[in-house]
Amino acid sequence: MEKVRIGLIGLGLMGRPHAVILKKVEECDLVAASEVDETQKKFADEQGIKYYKNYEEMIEKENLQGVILAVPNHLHAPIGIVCAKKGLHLFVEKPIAPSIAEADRLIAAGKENKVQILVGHQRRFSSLVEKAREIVTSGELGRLVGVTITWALLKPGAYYEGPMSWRKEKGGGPILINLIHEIDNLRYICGEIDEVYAQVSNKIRKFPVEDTASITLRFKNGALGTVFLTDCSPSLTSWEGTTGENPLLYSDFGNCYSFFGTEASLLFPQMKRRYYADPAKMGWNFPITEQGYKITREDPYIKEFTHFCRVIQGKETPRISGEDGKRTLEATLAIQKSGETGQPIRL
Amino acid sequence: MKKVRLGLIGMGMIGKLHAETMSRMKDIEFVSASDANPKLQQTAEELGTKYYQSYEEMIGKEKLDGVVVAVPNELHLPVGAACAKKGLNILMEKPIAADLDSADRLIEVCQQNKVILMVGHHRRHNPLIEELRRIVRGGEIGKLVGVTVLWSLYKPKDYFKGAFAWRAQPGGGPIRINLIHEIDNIRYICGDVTRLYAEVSNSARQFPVEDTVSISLRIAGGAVANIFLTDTAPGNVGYEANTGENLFFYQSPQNCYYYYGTEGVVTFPGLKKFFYRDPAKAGWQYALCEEGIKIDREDPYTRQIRNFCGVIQGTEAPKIDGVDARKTLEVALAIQKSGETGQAVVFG
Repeated sequence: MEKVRIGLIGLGLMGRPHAVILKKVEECDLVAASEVDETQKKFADEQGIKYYKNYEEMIEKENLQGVILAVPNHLHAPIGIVCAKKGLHLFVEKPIAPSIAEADRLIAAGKENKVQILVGHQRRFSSLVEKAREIVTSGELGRLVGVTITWALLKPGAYYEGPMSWRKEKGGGPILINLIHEIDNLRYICGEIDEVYAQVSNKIRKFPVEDTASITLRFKNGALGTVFLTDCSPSLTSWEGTTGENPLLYSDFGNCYSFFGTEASLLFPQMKRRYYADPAKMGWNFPITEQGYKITREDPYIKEFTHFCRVIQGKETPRISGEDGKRTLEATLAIQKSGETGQPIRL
Repeated sequence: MKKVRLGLIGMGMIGKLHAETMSRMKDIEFVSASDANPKLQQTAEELGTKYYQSYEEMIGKEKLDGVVVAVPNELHLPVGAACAKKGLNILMEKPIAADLDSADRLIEVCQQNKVILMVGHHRRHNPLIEELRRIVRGGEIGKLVGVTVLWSLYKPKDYFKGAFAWRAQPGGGPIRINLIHEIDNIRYICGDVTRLYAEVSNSARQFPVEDTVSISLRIAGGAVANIFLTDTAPGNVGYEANTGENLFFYQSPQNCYYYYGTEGVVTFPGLKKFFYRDPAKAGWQYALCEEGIKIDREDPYTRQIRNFCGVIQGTEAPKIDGVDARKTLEVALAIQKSGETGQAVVFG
């Protein structure tokens, strides 16, 4: 089978691990990588990947079918548009862009040049999320009435220091960097969000950027939600602290999401469904049954890049298109704005 | 010391619980109980207390130090006022009254007649809650960052039927009946609510009353809190389902509250503290420690009556007086209002 010829733009914190994973993807031929910081040439050489300093030179000289953009958010649209004009399919790290206007420009360029855009919300490829989505959308919980999410953990002091001090500024905080994943999961599992409200605080770290948020959501299907977010409390109640999907972080076996339906509820990621076994004995005074699910866990990044290759081959349609990634960004930005205005926002 | 002489008005679901509690207590005198329903005479006699059908007759004839009032919410003010005018100290079931105006009038009439008004937010008397409050207020988890509260219990269909059809109507739902406890807990443990927003829905049961609520609160001092509540999903998570306080409810071993601080997290009712042992190794890449807390459990209803007696004897302060309970009611009503108007509510 012909492999898909991929170029990687950016060998930073995201790009380097991407390079390692791309080499494991059977359907992918990682042809070359570019990075303006020349000290990363060593990494490319070690990995046996052809190195370019200039991405434009790379996409000019190499006969690529698609590129993976692992560059700072503000460069997603400018670089993405150049690549789209070359007819290259795009994998864009999340968020699709820092603003809706830029997301629109990138999406338009994709359409004009007939290239596909896949946005890197890799959690949609998590076996846990796929199962949760199947349980919720298939009606195994009955009608969905609500969902609660907690994302609470402690980022170490060094996370905000030195070259990373930009994270202290607006846009570098947990809403745009972390919460956006939760929002994308929610949209993928529960459906479109209709209204958001948020109380946002920076009272703990006292940086310009937020450290804590308390959010309410209303979904188009009528379900309600709450999200509690903080990056300054020693907690394991978070995606990172419970799923074990980030090998760099410590995790235990708790739950970070609960889904509530009229027939059953689901604890995630333990994947325990609670329901009343006997319809004649439904109620708070009756024993409740807990059912588990057998899940085969696969590496979401390998699944994600395999999917990108298949999208390029025309075998699959993007699981997170540019439009879809934009809607996740829209909801996330609305939460930020609600925190500033103190008003709920309809999407 | 002379035993405190108590009477009970109302022997419904919660009234009966008070009657059973008082009949077990050796250090008080449970003089009498009243209920308009004469069928409850037998219950009163079984519990070894004198029965009256009319509470007015009871408070006229018996020499009491205080009364426990467990009547429907709309009767809190008239019954409470009648007792206050007789000079009787009052332990009023929660909520303090049906609305804020009635609450104000009840507080006033108790002040005028110099009687104690204590309100039956019994959870404040649970040693588990007291310990949680001690941990949070004592700074053991550092500065409080936020709180999450979950309450998802499935009310059976007959909960809304027959004599209880009022529970399907506005005012009879989980905001006033169940959520008010959660509000009082948060206020007791963390402090006053300064701002809130709520999404309120009745789309699952389609009754006139709400079935699901999602809330964001801000608390004095700057912490935020989320509450999610539904009475229509088989979640079996929530105070009643997890604390073992009332075994009518099926128990699931799970935490329903998380209190997040800058130095630690404490879960409830598990009462486990999470923290980093080495400050140089604090952060998401490091292993977190878990520490248990030993608690001596005790029935909160018994402790509540004991507190009421202590207040009557002048040896204790009430865990929650009328003014305090009015604030809890005010927050619960504001949640209802926010749900209706779609606007945030700010407290002065």
